[in-house]
Amino acid sequence: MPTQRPPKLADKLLSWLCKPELLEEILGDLHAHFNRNCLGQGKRKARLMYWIQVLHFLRPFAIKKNRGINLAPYSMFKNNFKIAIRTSWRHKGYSAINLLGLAIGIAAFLIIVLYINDELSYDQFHADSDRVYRVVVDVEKGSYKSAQKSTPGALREALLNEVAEVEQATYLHPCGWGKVLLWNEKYRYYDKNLLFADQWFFDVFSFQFIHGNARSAFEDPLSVVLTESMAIRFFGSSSEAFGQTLTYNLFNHDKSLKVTAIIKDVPARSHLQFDFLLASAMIRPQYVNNWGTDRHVHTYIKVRPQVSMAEVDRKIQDIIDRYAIKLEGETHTYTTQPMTGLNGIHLSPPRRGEITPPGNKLYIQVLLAVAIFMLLIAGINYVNLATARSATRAKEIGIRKVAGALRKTIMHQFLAESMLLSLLAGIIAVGLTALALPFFNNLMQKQLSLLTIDNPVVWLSIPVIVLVFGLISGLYPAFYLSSFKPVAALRKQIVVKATGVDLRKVLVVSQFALSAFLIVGMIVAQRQMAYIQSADLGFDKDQVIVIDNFNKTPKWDRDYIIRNKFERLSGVTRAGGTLENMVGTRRGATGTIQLNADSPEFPSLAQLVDERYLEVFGLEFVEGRNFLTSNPSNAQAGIILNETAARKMGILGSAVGQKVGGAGGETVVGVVKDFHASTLHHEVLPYAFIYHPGAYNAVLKLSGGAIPETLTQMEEIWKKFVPNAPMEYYFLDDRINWVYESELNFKTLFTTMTGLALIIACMGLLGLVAFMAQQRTREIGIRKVLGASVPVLIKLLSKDFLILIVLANLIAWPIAYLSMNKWLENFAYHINIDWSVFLFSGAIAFVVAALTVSFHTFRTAVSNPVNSLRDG
Amino acid sequence: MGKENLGEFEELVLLMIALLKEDAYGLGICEELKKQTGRSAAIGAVHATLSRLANKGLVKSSLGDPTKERGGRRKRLFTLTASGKKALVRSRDIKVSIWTQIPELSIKTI
Repeated sequence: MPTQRPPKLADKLLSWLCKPELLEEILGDLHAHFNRNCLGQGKRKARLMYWIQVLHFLRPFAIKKNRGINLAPYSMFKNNFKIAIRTSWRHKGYSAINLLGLAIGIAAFLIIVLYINDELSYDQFHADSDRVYRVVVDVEKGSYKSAQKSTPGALREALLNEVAEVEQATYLHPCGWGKVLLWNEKYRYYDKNLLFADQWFFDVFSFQFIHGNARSAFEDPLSVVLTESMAIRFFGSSSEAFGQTLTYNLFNHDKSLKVTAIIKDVPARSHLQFDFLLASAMIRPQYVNNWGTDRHVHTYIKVRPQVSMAEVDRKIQDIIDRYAIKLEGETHTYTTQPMTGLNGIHLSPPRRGEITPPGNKLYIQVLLAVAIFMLLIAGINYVNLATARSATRAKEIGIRKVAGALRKTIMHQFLAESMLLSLLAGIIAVGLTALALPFFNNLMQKQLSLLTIDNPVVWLSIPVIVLVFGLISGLYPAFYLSSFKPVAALRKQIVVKATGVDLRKVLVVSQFALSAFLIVGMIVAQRQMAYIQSADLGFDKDQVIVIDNFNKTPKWDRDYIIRNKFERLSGVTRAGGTLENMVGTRRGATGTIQLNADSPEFPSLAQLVDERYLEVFGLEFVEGRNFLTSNPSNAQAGIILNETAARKMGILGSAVGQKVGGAGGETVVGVVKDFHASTLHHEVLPYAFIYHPGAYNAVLKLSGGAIPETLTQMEEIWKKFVPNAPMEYYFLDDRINWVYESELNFKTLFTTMTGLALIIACMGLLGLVAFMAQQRTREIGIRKVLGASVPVLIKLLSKDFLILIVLANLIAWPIAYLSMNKWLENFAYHINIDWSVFLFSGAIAFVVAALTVSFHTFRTAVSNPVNSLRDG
Repeated sequence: MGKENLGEFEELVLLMIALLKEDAYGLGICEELKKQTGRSAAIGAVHATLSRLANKGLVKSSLGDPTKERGGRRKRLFTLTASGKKALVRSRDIKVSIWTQIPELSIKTI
């Protein structure tokens, strides 16, 4: 009769959602209704009506009940877990592999989460931290570029007057002239951890007051604000300290400072670190109305809520263009830098003269990637072992199905197992984290602790990882195992495939590809760091002592001390002095150099030294000579270049006698061989030594042996000239290694994590091989009986896996090559990744995997065939 | 709502079942309802009410014969149970009793 059919989709929806026992009558009614409507009202309207009628059936009485929940939910849940515990207990080995691997993975992940949380929460304790910005400047002159944070001292007033978006501004002045002395009768402080600040400091930053307040802190220029721990050191307690006085020695004048406020210690997660705040009014006259940018004044602003920072940047630049005093040819680009967040001060590339060493975004990215790798590897272990063991559980599944279990019930069972494992691993992981944190803190210079987590996200991350991991890793085994046909399962027709491409192989390959990637990374990092530490820096850094507070000695005695006191000591070969940092520990360019006024300028470094400095470091001359010992005045001393400087200016080979440096200029008296004045991250820059006696830093080359005696003698000399401050010195090679300290520590961390990842992967492999060997016991028994030798059997059992390992390496290498090359680009001087890296990493992966595999294959291969054939 | 008390729509559906005698099924009730009262109820609403009435024990059901119009599916035919009849009678009696107590006049003035 009717040619029209009601909408199929609607029927499908209904049959999917509706209780099956009601479906017939409902569909019958609906179809009859539809047919009547078709005759009366036309097809389109009938179809629409049909949909409406179908949707009217989405009521509680008609909709299917969820059976799993309906059937005594609690007891099934309990039963699932009971079975899960029993199964895990019965297969202790596999469970331990899974548990341990996963716990290590989660612990690593947790530590990384803690680390990232820590790095990202810098400076967030300030009340309006998201509205506080630092004004920074990029200076450019020719090819010379410098990222600065020094701003003109007069900028603050101009910002407040002319930029409506700025609510408040403050300027800071770090202690730029080395350590200072503060004392009272109880304690002497000799360090440089202090800042000069103004009365608006506390409007922008929120440090907590214990005594005193923001208003009165800097009313008097002769004020000092102490941190709590300093107050305790000087006065015993913070309440006793309030209102007392401290003596401060500034430029050899003693000043008496009143303690006007005591604040809580500066949190570790602050890019500003200080023990004292002094009133900048004390030194303000030097720079407050100055529009030059060389005064080391750091300007911080707090903007009004919801303003456009691009607009603020533009206005600041405008002010600078109008007022600032600039050297000719220089461009100054002013921008604001947010205090917090991923682009905040802590995680941005360092600018000149940062108060605290900034963090490193790269570390965060790499560590996060490694942690995720580890979790993935552990997850793959679970999936692999669970599916591989399916044959042993086929019977169980078959019986359950025969007894009436639905597919869903069985899936619940397997999910319960993975959840249980994941939960246990989570608990163990928290314990492992607590154990591992001290080591991590030591390496990364952090104070992380599980007890002081202030971010709820971190706590939440633990159950989230556990749940997500349990669900994801359990899902595939659950689907796979619950799909068994009961008849086949009971007849033992479920055979775990040992050949062909299956998911398990793909997983093993990806697992080992991740490991191989990490191994290559590890080797490259190891080699690069070894290269850096053993690289020839072009000068002699061994047994060189630097006295870095030599400027405490009376100015006119300095040359005398070096020549006539230090150098006369039997343990000292040569002594010299300079006004700057030592070679080897310098950073980027500090100025430019040019041949004459019309020639191009090159970024360069200059150093004021005496003639002995170059001898201490054993710099070799390729042209000309050193400064003369009996030089009457600085003006006639001339200048000594390095090869790069001479080459860039085009005078290499004929440099001696040339005048360089534009108008007037200095006469070149010598050219030394190139050396690495800064770290190997940087290329060798043009370098100029300028003659200047009266060093701030003294350098001494020791002859070796009897070093403690020599040091004692030096200290005796020192005491005669500087009675009230100790001699401070360091060994240059230590200091040079310091520069790479964070990289070395990172390398150690990365190596450890790689090792752990490899161990987790191998544990998985061990479990898998053990299982495969067990599955093939009978086959091996028969082969042995027929005359197969042990080596042949080992080869048979290992071959499949080892091919996978090789494949994994081949996949990982190109990716590792590209990403490690990217890392090496950070260094101006670096190793090349050659084939040996890959051979070596492949060998590690292969040997470790082969050992793992052979552990079981050997056992199976040598076992007596009678045993394996008799039972079963 | 207690077992004895009938909702308004429930009562109407019960009445339709009584009216249709041997041919009371979902769609039929729905159409009869439209004919008698002018109300168009969704088939789903009628089915839901029938299921509720069955739960209350006021109706019982059996499957009828398949028809071509229904795509070869059977109808579920409903009849009143004894308590269903009782509920209807009781509901009518209560209303009648109240009606008789309302004076003619007061209705007109409403």
